[in-house]
Amino acid sequence: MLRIHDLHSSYGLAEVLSGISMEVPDGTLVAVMGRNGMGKTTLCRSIMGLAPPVVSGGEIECNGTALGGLPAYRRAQLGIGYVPQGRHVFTSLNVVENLTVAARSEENGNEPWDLDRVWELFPRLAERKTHRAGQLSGGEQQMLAIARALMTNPGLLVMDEPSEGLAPVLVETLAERLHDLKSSALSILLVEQNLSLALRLADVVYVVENGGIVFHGTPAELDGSEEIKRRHLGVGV
Amino acid sequence: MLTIERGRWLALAVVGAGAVALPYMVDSFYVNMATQALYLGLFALSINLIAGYGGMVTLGQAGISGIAGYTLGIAATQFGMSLGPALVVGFLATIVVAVVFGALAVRTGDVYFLMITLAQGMIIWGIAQRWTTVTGGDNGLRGIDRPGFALEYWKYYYFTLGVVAVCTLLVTLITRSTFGLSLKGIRESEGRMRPLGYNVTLHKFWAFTIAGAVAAIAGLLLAMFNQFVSPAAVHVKASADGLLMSILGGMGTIAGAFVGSSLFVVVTNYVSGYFDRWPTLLGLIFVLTILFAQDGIVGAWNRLVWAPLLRRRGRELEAERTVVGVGGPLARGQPVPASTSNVDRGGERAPVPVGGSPASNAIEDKVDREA
Repeated sequence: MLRIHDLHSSYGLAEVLSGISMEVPDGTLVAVMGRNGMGKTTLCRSIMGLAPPVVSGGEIECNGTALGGLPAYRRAQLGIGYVPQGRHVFTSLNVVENLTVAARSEENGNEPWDLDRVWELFPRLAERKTHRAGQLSGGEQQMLAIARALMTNPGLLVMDEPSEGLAPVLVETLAERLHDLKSSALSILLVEQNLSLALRLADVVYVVENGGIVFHGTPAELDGSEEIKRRHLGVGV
Repeated sequence: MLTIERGRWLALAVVGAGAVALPYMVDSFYVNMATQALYLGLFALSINLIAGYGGMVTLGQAGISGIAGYTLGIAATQFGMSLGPALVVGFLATIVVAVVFGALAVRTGDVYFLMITLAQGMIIWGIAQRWTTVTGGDNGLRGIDRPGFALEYWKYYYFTLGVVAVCTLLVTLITRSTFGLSLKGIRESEGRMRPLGYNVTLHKFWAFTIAGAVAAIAGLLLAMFNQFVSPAAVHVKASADGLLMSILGGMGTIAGAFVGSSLFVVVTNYVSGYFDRWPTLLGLIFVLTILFAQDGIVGAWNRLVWAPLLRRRGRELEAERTVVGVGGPLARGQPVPASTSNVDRGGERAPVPVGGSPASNAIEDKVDREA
């Protein structure tokens, strides 16, 4: 689905990603972990074609199409859904409008998304249809941000720290919803700081440190490596 | 039973009936004022479409609107075209100019957009002022006809009312379409629209062009009403007046454009007859609006009268739902059990069930809401 080869990305003179290579195979959930400032969001923005940063080298391929140089809206049309960090829903639009504005039919073999399917996945949003997104709680906004990305009928969903700022019980709900999504043939790139969430959901985990990949393996391998967890994720210090 | 939705239709029906009955109730002076309020309202609506919905504040819309009036005038007086074809030529010429100006302006945003549209408007004004052989310079162009069926003041009023009503309906449909929604999204954040697959620049361009078409209609109505066009009609002051009406009435609302234009026409035509300092009054109204109701008269009305009504109605509906047992989060507002509060205060780490009890659910939800 997504293949990244030797990606370099920088803000001005500061290179944030220095040679990242990774792969999201069809229908899998790949988690990218790492501490703050290690380049996780930069990775998401580079995949999505959002500037800044500037991609200074390397290749990104989605379904065999090279994304280099394509504007963000073209990448979205190629089937990449994006859930930005900090949610960023349209606060002045209501829930239905937030979803309708994103709706796009895309033939990619997956079951198409519409409002009814969204209400099924997120019953809470159905209760708040006519509320302005600005009035929703953080958890509801996160659900809306995910639902909005789904309405573009993506083949790949790029999620930038969806659990950030959510209360533990809502992270639990989020995990269940992501698990539902994972079983629907959607490929997901999940950037996370929440170790247990990533370990539970991911098929493959990458750990980023200072703009490079320092670990690549299954969740079980990561869980077993106290060294990686301690040094690169700050767990158990 | 009078529901809110029905109340809204009733209000529209009353305004519509009043507009139709107007020439039977007042004399020509007031009917002509109403005609002006209508075409100026349409002009303000065209500004509102790009500024209020699309978030692009323009100071050049009178230039675009004036292209229509001037082309009509030139076609009619210099080339001796009859009114029908001259109107079509005026409309098409305006679309062409809007396309060119739009292509230049929509690449920018914010204050840069404002400056470029200001410059574009001034170019039109400069041509109107200086190209005297074609535009008549300061003297303007005389001899623009009204349609044969709408020569008298009251007939022209009805003609304007009909045209403006149709255009307003079309603009309303556009603002309620997915395209209108995408404009609101662009106003809120271009950066959020792109990753959803929107070619933001193209959408802004379409909005600019559609607004240009609406402004063209308003410009044609103005030229036929005055039977005359002059550089004053394309001056930056005319653009600023339109923006002023739009802001006074309420950006991002359809009714706001007409409320704003009516207020503007009343102050400039009626109040000015009794009060020499009417520009000061207009300025004062504007300052008060910006200080106390930045969303304009219609916005303030929605906020202070309409929304509370809807909220009350919404609460009634929610109460009905709760009674039959649908929706409504569990345990909201229940007293917090002591054990859970202890954990929160950082006491001993008592084992908390994963997933949370209904009560802790409510707490987390509340904490999250406040965050």
